[in-house]
Amino acid sequence: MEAARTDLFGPLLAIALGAAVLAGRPPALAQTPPLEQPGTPRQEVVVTAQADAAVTAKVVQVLENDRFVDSSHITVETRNGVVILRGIVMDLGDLNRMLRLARRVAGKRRIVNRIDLIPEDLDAD
Amino acid sequence: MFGTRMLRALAAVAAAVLVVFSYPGGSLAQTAQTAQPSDADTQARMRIIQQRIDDLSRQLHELQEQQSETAKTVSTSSNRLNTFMKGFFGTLDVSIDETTKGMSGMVAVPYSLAPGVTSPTGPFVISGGQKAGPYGRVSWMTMMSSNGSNVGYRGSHQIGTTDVDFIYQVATAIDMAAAPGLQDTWTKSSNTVMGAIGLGDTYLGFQGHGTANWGKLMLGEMYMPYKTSTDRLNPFSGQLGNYNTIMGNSGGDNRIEFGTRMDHVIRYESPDFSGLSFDVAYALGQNPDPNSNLTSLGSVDCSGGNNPGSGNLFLNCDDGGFNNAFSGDLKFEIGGLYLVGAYEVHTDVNRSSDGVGANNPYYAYLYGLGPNSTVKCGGVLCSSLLDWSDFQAYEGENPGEALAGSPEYNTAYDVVNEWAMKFGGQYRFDFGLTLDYLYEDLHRSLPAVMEFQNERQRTGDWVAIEYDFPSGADRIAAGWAHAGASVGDPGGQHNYMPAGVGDNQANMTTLSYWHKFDKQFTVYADVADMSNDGNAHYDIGAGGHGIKTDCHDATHALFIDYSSAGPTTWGGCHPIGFSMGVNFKF
Repeated sequence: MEAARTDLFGPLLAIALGAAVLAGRPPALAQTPPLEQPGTPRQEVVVTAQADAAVTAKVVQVLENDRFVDSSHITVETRNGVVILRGIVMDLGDLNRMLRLARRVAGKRRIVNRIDLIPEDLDAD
Repeated sequence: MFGTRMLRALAAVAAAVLVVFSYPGGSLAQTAQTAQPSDADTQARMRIIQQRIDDLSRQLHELQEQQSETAKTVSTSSNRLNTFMKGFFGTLDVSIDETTKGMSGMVAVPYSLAPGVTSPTGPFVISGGQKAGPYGRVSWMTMMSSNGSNVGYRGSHQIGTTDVDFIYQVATAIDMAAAPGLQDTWTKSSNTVMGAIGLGDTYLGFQGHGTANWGKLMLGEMYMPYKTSTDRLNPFSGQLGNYNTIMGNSGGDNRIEFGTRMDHVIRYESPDFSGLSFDVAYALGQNPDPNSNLTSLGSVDCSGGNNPGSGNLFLNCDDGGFNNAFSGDLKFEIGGLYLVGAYEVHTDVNRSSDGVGANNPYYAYLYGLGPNSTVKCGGVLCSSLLDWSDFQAYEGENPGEALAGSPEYNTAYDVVNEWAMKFGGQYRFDFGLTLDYLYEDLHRSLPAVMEFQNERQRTGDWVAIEYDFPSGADRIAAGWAHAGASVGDPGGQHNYMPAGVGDNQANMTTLSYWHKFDKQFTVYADVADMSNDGNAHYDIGAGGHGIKTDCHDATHALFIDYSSAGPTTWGGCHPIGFSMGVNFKF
């Protein structure tokens, strides 16, 4: 039973990954971040260039003003109401707090986390 | 600047003169009664003065424009310098540890199959007197450790006017507490040099941006998606008791089989699809040997880490070297929820050295049958399971050295694929609490006849809970890892207990506290406890902490051969460690 289960998981995951690869059309999807539709629960999110810029400024400000979060390698962009965080952090605590702060400021806007965590790992034996 | 002042002064003087000359006061008019100039002369003088003022104003304006232009250039240069400097990043970390291997007083006795028994599962009998106990300082010891300190530089460059950026990163791990160099000791064997550029994720690549955000493609040396996708579930990175000691670590000890940085990697990272994203990577094996017994072309160590001959074995990559590797992950993140699944496979993994010097009675039985036996084991000749031809050739040339040794397993049976999969998730509450869970399944695809020594196939679990205090200055985390029982055991432990196959589970508990003084400077305290079953030998420092605190004692020999006379491994050890350190990031 154990062997059957382990034999099954690997292929299933491989199939899922393969499907994701095959189904992925990055440019098309990337060009069309989800827009807020009237009547949806998220209709209160204003999607304008000015609103995007304002959200970006607020997120940047809250990260910079925090006494303990090092956001010196982070960039913030807001596109069509979606807040995108990019860059690197070397501390997991920073990453979690950053995402919390951004979420607090961005309200109902979606946060896309594209931050690379660079952990203190060294695999040398 | 001086010219401007002069011009301003001249302009002021000229203006004053103009005012004086044009002032319609009565006294001047009155004193001019005697030599009254004509109105035409006065107007002519005024025109000349006005013209001079206009000239001076124009020159002043031109100078101001030149100064403004110079300021712009300085500002642009300053921005470029700022951007350049921001590309540097790094972590400096040193801790003082008080650790023990937890093996003092352990005893070992040799076992063999009971008379007439030919099954790997026994029964077994004690076949000799008590063996030597753990050698060296294996109890509490104070140590200083560098803990994955690293520096790096990363940047990007827009290619022409396209929507594609050229991206790059160079990084290295640095040793803060000791001099850098090769790591060829009896307990740590690697040809990599600490502090050398490239001992860290180092790559170049391309990335779409703007409306052409098709993702990121990278070429170089780097960690694989299987590892990076769950780094955020490991709050104890670089510390004693971080989850790498068990998760991705198929055999215990210090090496993280499914969490190692690989050479010659092609990696693609997808953009975000409404919260869904994936990464795939392929590491070119570049190994000319069909049994992965050599280092990959272009690499200094065997695939997966360690140099040829690690652990005092013969100068081969037969302690886990592999050829190609594929790794991928599928991630979903929305709000505070993060879900992840990952898979990685290593092809043609060579572990034939697991037999050398093994204390497994079944291995002794195979060895005892000799090279010419016609006895069958699981449908094949028992003698074919061991590599007699190489061993006999070596024995012929070096009879003294090989005498104490024994052959490797036959690569025809012990060079197979290994794969791992894991899935888990994280939930990050807004009030500071974060919960992590990860399940893992490790697999080595051995033929049935070799399963008796398969210690690479097991499950694992990881649970962690973190809390960030509201101020942002303090953080606390606790974690628990579990290594399930493996299918078999090669019996490399000095005190191997054959009746306890499956008696090699382990449980690790970690507790850490961090305090930040500002954005970059942190102090921390950490405690980790690894409880191993009788045949398990997991440590508390693998995969990040500088000093590993593993289950090896200080036994050593003066030659490299078939005897595996290096550090002796003790199953059931109980490593415990306390650590306090400082950490600075930039």
